[in-house]
Amino acid sequence: MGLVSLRFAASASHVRTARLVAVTVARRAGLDEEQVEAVRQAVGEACALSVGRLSPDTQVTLTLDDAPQADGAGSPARLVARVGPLDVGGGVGSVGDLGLAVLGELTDHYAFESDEPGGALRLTWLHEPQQARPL
Amino acid sequence: MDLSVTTREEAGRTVVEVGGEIDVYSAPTLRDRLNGLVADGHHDLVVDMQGVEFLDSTGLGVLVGGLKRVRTHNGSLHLVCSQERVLKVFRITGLTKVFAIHDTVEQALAADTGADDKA
Repeated sequence: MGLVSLRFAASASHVRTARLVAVTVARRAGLDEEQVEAVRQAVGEACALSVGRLSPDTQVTLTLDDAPQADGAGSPARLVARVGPLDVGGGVGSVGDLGLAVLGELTDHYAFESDEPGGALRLTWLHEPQQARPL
Repeated sequence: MDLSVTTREEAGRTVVEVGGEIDVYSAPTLRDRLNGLVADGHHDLVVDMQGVEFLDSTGLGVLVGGLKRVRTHNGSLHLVCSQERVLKVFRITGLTKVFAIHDTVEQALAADTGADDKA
């Protein structure tokens, strides 16, 4: 389906918008409703973490990328959400945050990426691609 | 939907009816309302969350803060929530062990005010 990207000022008031975009993309990609709710929750937590650590004049970027059969024919589709920057100096383990604690329960995989300044949280869900449906 | 918070007195307790989304943006409003109630002497609270559509960890933090605050006054804070979507957040954070969570306001009002001391 390709990439959807949302860029917003680091304000808590925009986190709901980010959740709504993530939910729309997840439904369009064909995730089941339980997974869609997990996307809503996890993307919300990641964005809240990001805006909480940034000044309002900086920007947060949320990207959502749905890749059908990402690992070859017969493999599950993969929805990847990426939220950054986080400004986590000591890596994601240094953040003693309740929001982070829930990410493991809400995603199939999550990781902190530090290849860009400020780093980013990468959240991954695996799903069956044939469920994809129009809105 | 934006956060809504209304309060009423019932059976000697204060029922706080919360609706909409409790997230990083709206949670401070709920925190201020709970703090205000406790400061005004309302120490036995029933937080009715049946109208809550979304709850994030910031909102959970506010509820934990409210619980701590009423306990310093020997008060109580009971929750009313039967929606799976919201209950799941309590479950994955282990907070079902901290809060007394009821299906209805009536059940919460019937429960002993000390029932939330199970943690």
